[in-house]
Amino acid sequence: MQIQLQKGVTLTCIHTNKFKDIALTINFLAPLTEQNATERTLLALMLCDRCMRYDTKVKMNRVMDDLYGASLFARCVGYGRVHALELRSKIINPCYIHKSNNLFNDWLNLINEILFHPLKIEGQFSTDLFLESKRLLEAKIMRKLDDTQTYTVLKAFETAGKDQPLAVSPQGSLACLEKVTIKDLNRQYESMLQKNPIEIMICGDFNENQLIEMIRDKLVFESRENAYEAQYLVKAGQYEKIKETKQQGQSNIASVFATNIAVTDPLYPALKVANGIFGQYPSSFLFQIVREQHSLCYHISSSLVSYDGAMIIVTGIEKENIEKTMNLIDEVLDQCRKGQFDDDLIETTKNMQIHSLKASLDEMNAILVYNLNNRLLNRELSIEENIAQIQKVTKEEILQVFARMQPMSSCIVEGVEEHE
Amino acid sequence: MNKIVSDKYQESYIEETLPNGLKVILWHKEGYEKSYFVMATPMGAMDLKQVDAEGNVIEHPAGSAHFLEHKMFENENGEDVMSLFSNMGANVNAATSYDETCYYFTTTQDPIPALNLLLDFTQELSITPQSVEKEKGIILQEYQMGYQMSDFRLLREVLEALYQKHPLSYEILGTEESISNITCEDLQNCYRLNYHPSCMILVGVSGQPIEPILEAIRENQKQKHFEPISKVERALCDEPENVAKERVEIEMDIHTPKICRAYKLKGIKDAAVRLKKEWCIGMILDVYFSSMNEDYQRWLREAIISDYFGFEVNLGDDYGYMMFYGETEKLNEFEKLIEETLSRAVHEGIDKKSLEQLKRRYFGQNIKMLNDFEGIGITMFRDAFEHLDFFEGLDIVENIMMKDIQEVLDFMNTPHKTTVIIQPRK
Repeated sequence: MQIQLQKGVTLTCIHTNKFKDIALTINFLAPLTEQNATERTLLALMLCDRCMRYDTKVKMNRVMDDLYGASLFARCVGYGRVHALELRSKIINPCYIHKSNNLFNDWLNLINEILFHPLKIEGQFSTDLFLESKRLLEAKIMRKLDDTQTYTVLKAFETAGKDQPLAVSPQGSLACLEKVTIKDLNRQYESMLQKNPIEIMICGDFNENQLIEMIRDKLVFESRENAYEAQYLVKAGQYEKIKETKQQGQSNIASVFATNIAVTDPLYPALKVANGIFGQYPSSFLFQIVREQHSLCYHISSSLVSYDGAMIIVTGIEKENIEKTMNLIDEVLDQCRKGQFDDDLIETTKNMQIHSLKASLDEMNAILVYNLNNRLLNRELSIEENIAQIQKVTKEEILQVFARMQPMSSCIVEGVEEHE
Repeated sequence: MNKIVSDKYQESYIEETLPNGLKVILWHKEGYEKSYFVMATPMGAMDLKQVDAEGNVIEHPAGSAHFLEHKMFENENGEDVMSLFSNMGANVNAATSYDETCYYFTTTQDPIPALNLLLDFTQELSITPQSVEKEKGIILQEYQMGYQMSDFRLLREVLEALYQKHPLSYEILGTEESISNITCEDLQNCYRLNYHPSCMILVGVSGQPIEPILEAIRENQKQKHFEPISKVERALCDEPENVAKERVEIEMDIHTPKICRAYKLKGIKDAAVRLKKEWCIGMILDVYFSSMNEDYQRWLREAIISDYFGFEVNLGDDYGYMMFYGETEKLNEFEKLIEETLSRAVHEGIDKKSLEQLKRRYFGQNIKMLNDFEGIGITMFRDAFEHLDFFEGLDIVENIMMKDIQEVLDFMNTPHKTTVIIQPRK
């Protein structure tokens, strides 16, 4: 059930009695820019850490444990042009507790405190909290860059998506972080509460009417503009290859392709099947040829960056095998372009896609993401309709998809020994 | 067939041991599309030395359990088992830990064809010296992947620093040398002793009706013949109390130093006692080393810790340790903080209010865990290997009393410790 609480503020209730807990997510949507991403990731950390009423971590801990270990965290995700700051909280269903009368009420009160009464001093975010969160975010970003595989992915996106949202990490950048001030965060917070389109979702076993009333009461937002278009197609320029070295045993590769197919394109289901044939699964060509036939790697896979119209391949190999692996990847893609795969593989891949769609109905987080995707794309595509679309995909459509793929960038980090 | 029902958790499962010794546990989840099945053997990376009923000692090269896990995915027709599962719309995978090796799949279709395949491929080994050789390149890449990750490397160095003889001092994958030297015969030997149905457990969690599934399992097993084997057990290690190395420092390509201080504890043979002690220690450490402690805020402010800060307690029948890891430029302050706070914890213990707060937290977490098919499956076979009851296992936390907490304090007090530091490369 979907209710528009205000213009630009939508509540989606997903009622199911499968789960033992109840989840609430609130997504605040803004354009994905480096500055927004950095400020909002910092804001997300600060909001979840403590607030006016529970102004120490100890108090926050206690109130969460009073709610039987309620979970609460905020994360930032990119959906094409859109940056989503998501607050997510879960509590166990009150039916497992003897004295459970006020659990929902207490829970929503806590969310209210966190969102509307952050830790401020004289109208400004607390300096202590700001500096602490800034340091933590800096450490998080640095740690991510320490992981070579993640580094190659970020670098490959940055190169391929120059001046486009694909280049922006939804968790922000060190360069921006250095410049962020408390003032910026005050502005970002006000904009989040007043202007950002909001998607609220609740999933689990509850009395719908009662809960909707409680949400109306505890989460009061003004009207605002509706959500904007999230999907776009990244523009492919000249292919660019970056090569760096690092002292480590393995070498890592990340290669980005433009798919030239948007999420709402009629060919999108065929793109999903094509990616399944090419590299998503252990049954895919990349795994079967690069790993199983040539024993070159432990992991190799391709995945779609759907909202940007991109695809990325990642793997880790021996330094001596970089050239050979890059050539093999090209050969595999070439083979796919020429249609050198049989109907059995198409069927197998469709089966795997259908399995993951059906399985998503059994995972609360997957249900929430599926519904958010529908909202971002302004559609109501059911799992059944989605499955039917996959089933209808033909080999001709898959070939059209492969024909549209264009290489954009590769980032190779060559592992070198200390003495080299 | 035995049915176990819990009104409190609103769940139930059935268990049956088949004539060939295979223990089967099936859990029905009403309303779900998915099925998850896992076949597990208690042979893990720690089984470097096993003893049979006659007292014969059998040695396995380091990394055998994991290598075997890779090679199980090859059948006698030379087909790739992963692809066969994919053809059925099922996702298959496997994992090797120190304690066990397990093979599992999920599907949203009729699970019986994939279930038969799971039973068939884990109950037959078809390898050749050539196929074993071919796998070495893949496993060596997996090994390299781990070694370049600083978190993984930190844990690895800590276990090597803590243990002089214990198999924990070896990586699950083995060493580059042991991987390169493993033979077809080594794997066949390992398989013969540890994959007999009487050693293994099959757990299923499914939205589908349980009866036909159980019938299909019985039918599958009836058609196979297994020669009786002399059961093997992991040989317990007589590990010295002292740590192997008191201090280790290495360099990696990272931005900020990483540090881990670890304390060596004794093993506990009785599984129920061990599990309870592990919970007690975990709760004491929660009170002192998480944001439940007022000082935590100051540690963060002073940059002695960052968000990458945590602890782990792990007890086995012949080993035990507590470790505290972090990322900081203030390495000396970090060590001092751990040392002093732990000393306080061991001498002062925790109050009843904190215990009750944590019991509430973990009750909620246990309830939430029951949504998770994989979580149920893994906990189930681990409990079964240890002869523990699943629901009693969940209740352990609730039954912890202040006297249990008091009792464990002495056990935590140990002079045997080590510090491992990873410095950014100069």
